[in-house]
Amino acid sequence: MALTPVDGHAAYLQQCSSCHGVDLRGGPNAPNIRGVGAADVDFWVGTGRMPAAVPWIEVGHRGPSLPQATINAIVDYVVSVQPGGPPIPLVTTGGDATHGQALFRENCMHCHGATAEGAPIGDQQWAPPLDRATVTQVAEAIRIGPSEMPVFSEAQLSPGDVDDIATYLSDMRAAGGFHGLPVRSSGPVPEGLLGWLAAGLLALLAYAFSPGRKETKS
Amino acid sequence: MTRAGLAIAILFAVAATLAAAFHASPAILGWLAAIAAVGITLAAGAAARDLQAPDDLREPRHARGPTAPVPEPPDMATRRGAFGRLWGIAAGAFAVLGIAPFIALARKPAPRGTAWTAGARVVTPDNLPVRADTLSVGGVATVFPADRVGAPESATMLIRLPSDVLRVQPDRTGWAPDGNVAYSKICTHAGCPVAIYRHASYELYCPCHQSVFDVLDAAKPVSGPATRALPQLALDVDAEGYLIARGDYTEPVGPDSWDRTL
Amino acid sequence: MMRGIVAFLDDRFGSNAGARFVLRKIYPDHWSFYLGEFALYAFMLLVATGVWLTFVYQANPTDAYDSVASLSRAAPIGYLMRQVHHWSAVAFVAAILIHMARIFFTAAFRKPRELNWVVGVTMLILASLTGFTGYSLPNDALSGVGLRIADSVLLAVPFIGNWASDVFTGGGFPGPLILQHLYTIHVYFLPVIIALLLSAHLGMLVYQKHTQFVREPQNVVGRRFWPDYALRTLAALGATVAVILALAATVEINPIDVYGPYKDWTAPNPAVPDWYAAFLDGGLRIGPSFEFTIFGHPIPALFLPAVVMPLVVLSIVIAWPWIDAAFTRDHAKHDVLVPPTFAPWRVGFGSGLIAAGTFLTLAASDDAQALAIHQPVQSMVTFYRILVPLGSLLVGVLAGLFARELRRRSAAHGTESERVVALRRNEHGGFDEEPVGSAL
Repeated sequence: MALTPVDGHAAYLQQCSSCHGVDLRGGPNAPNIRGVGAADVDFWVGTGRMPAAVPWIEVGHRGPSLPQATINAIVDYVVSVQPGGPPIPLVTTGGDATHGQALFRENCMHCHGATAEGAPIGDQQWAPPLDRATVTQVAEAIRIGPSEMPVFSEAQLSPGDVDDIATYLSDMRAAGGFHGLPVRSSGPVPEGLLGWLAAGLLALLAYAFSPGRKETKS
Repeated sequence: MTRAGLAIAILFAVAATLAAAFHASPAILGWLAAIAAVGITLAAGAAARDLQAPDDLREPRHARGPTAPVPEPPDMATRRGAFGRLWGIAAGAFAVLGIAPFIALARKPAPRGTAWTAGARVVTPDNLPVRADTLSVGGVATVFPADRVGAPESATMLIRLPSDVLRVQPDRTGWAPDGNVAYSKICTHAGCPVAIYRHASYELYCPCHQSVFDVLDAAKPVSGPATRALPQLALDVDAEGYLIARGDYTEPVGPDSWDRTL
Repeated sequence: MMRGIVAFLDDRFGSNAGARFVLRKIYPDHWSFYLGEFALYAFMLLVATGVWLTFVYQANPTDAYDSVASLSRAAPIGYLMRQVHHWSAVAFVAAILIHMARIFFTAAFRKPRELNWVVGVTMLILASLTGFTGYSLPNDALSGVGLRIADSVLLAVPFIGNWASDVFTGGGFPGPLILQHLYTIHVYFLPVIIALLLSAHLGMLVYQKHTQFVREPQNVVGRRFWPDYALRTLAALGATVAVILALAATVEINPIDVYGPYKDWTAPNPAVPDWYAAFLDGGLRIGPSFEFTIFGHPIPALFLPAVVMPLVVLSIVIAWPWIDAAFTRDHAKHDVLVPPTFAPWRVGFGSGLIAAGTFLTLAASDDAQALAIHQPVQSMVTFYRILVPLGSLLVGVLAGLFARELRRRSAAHGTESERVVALRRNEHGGFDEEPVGSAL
């Protein structure tokens, strides 16, 4: 554990500048990140999507690849170069989960799936599952609209609304399945496959356990 | 084996009943009942094996036809022709009469407009009015006319575009104040809500059959089975800075149908 | 006690003769003859759990969702009943199709059993409809979207489409009457019709006697109903109940409390129907984005994949016994089953049709598949547009060739002979073979 403060500028140069440029203006493989704000940088680096090994392939949440102190330092550095953009939101999970569920169903379910398990949104895009995201990262994504995700302003979803959504998500995560059945549903497609499995199993049982009889084909 | 099977069946049926009485979880309840059913299966299978006839049995198949034709009663023979046809026509007439009540169930469906009217304020599903700057650039919201949240055919996608990217259609100038453009949320293919907005590509995507609409170009379909663009709702800003509709949609909303002559 | 009851009835109805007839009746036995029974017992489970559910469900838009969602939070029995009901439906249609495949490939539909085939196919359609109306009853976000699509398909039908939609919904989607109509259709009309058809189906099968593999066309060869067949079918019942219960107690189906109530401005993702309706959804996804007009009336893009295609396929399937007879020029009665390989062309056609249905069903999740292999959805659409016609053709041809090869090999070994001949002494002192007919 480093006890000396991390040099954000040095960390940026080491981890980010090869694509985003020394001046943060980006290049052919990376966008301009001047003035994107703390939430943006914290989201991308905190979820491990950045630094990107291969710039043009988007990865999902794979956990931060840098120590938290380094991430914080990089965030501070980028903000210091050009202030602006949404700050890192403060989120609690003491909100109203029922209201959060209603908001989730109206604003998030159609992209991220009914249980936030992730879903395709056309082309080669997907809205990723939210199981690994911290509530802060969820709030950051809501405010910055990463990749194809829309941007939700505070006028549209207030900080209280975001708290409610975060509460609902964390309750959902904690509950695992809501219903006391060992295996959760993944939608009608796997359900159909299992239905066929059941019918096929019965057919197989009929074949395997048909009482033996003498062949009387003449 | 039969006895073992029956013992299992009785034991687990009783256990399942007790579990139900004590509010056991569905998983436990179901499994206890399932094992009871397995007991019946084992018992019946074993009994079938033990009690079965030693070999196949035979009995003759009876031809179930054809047999001698039904004779005509003699007094019908002379006037058969006219009677038969008239009876047939009468039956047909009654059949048509029988359908009439069902036709009467439906009124001639009036072309259903939406709930949008001139001057109606644009509100969120919580019935809160939307200002021209409520959405951030890159934001999207589902909106309705004020006090008519959930009205049929009226769901609308409000999208905030950066200035200058929208290709304004010739007869739609001013319809999108401050980059706020509004399209019907009801897919013109099969009526699903076109709920997915990809803000970096400026595309609306329908989850049902993957139709994609170009938000910058009058929401015309660019891929997928939809054939018609999403109708655009003309917006304006009222004196207090809230978004309002200039009127109803100028094109039919949602999928086409036979009566919706173009 | 049983003897007492039997004597009681016989004293009043003379029922012993009838009982003896029923109990002693001979049924041919083969493992594949139980496939229909799995469907039958799944149907019985549906009726049993369904009757219970009618005490809970409320068929109006305000209360429908809550009445079903409350089953999760109230007594666990209610939740299990709903789970068993829905899983039974999913397994029911699958079991029907497996049974139907057996009938098809062994040519059990031939004269005099054509009508039973028609009744069976009708029950397949009705079962799928019952399932669709049933899972739409809770008025949740996923099924509501499916209902909207169904309404749009209805609207796409020329002449009567708007009238039908108006009657069904009560004035345009969603309409105040739609749940009520779904309820009466799902709880009354369809199950009653299915039950009547089922009685006809079983009645015909008992009266005409079941077909058999044993090549003695003049006899029915098998075991008596009592005790042999009765015990075996009881085992089939136990197995059906056990498998469905185990599934329903382990894997959750249709989590409506996660989807939430239906609102016409939200949709879950992916948005797919239950598997037996998925071939229609697949057709809608890969169908051409082409709309034309007839005298100014639009024929929407939905029409071809969702109305014309299923009607055409259904017509061919229902008329199959007559198509088959015309093709084989065989209008004789048959009580003996054909081993599938004996009619390679039928194997080919059936396999092709099954493949087409399977590919169309798979096409309904083309967006998830596209994501999994990192391809744009449009590529998957193109892929399925090729796979459904050409892939099915390939499967059919390969299956037919394979069947023909199997038949050749078994014929070469001399184990099977399908011709029955009469030997007649000829003037040279030898024997002439005169074909009498097929033993099959």
